Amino acid sequence: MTVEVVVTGVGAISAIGDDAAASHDALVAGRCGIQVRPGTDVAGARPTLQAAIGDGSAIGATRLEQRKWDRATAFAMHAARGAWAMAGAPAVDPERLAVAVSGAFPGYLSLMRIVEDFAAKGSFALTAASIPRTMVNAQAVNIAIELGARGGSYAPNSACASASDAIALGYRLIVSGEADVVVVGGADAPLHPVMLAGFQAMRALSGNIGEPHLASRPLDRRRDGFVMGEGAGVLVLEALDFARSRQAKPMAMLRGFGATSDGHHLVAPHPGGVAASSAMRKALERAGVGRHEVTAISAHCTGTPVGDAAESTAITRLFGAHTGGIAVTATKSAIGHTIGASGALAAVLACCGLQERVVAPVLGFHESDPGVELDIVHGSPRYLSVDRKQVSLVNAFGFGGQNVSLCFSEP
Amino acid sequence: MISLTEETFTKMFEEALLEVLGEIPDGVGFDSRFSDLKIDSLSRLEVMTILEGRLQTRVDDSMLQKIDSGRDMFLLLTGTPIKEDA
Repeated sequence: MTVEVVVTGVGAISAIGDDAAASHDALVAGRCGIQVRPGTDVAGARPTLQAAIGDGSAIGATRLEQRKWDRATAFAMHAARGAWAMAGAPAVDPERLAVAVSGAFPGYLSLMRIVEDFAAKGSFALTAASIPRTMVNAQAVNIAIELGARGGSYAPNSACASASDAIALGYRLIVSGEADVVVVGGADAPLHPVMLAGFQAMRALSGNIGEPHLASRPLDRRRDGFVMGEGAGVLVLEALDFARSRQAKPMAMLRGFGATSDGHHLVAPHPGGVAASSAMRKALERAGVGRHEVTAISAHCTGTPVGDAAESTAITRLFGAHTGGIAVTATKSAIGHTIGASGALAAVLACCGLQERVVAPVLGFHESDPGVELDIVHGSPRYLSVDRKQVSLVNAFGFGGQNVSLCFSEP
Repeated sequence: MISLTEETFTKMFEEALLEVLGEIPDGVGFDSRFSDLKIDSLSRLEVMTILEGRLQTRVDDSMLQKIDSGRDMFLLLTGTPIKEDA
């Protein structure tokens, strides 16, 4: 028997909104969350572009929670609570409720703080909560503890594809019959001077300090790198039959996923986009969706010259003559690159877009690379036809050649 | 073993409790039992490690399980045997 997977709740926090609906509304309205913020070196002399959330007061964590949670874990908990509430807090057998939530650098800010305190004050600077804050699986297990989930908690780590791998794992758990409900997604909060300096050293970041609103311009011919952001996206996945049994109303279907590896380079994508293209093809095959049926793609495109070119090639390679009929967007122009959380945030925003039949514009986009013929949504949002079932691919690619493509559709 | 007045330690204990809990519930003080505070074992250990850091000393691991209040901590740190509950 084929098990179908639906999305019944989404939650998020980003530089442009404290929850999923606010983030999506701001995205469609063309709001940019990127700002110039204090610098990356020890003296703070070199300013950087960041898509930051602020003091995090919207999360409303208690003092006890703050002491046990890294900033990324707090984001994940906030998004999970939002998603769970939207799903109507499903009454599910705890052994059939699982969690798969992760980022690329879970606990990073806490780890850096511990190292700084240790260097300044020695071992007495550490407390009993120091290590729990830095656990790589902290997001997943804290959600599992809060929900009482006993069906497994997982924290896959695959760089910037981490949260998308977590979503794919949730899909597998439901389709294999191991779980009825899985809370999936991820969070990252990597905005630390060391992290920013490291990516600067790789020449991966935009240097367009003078024009923050144009700094993250995926797919534009003048793009010069990405802008680091922070945030979280969480989805509640359910077996369709289970959702029906409790009269839950799905907002989208997760039709399938494709995951591949480049097997090529530690940080550079394969220039031909072969494995990235295969990830999208596998997602469509698993979903039983034809290439001509895809209406939108939320590209991973971060704004780096090499990465965006490779993804453009991968899309064209797969869709061929159908390429021009697909509305392509990229969320990172508004919310920055949220690293391991980026796939989950894009998935949440794509599900919101499916509900409203709209594709948000790529901010700062004016002109494609020569020869690229993607239909890139820009200038204003694109409202899609009600006569055609909407199908969106959401891509997330990570260092090391990690490629995950998720296929969502209207219910 | 360290030299410390009960008054000084009580103030430090309340500060540590405030740091961990964010607020000190009514009626909670130096003699309150942790087991009555509805905080988990990790948070209890947080209070202990904060105090260890302030006092620059470590409590012997084997004694930790005997601590169930601020007074127990004070007695342990000052070298006074903790009375076992009857």
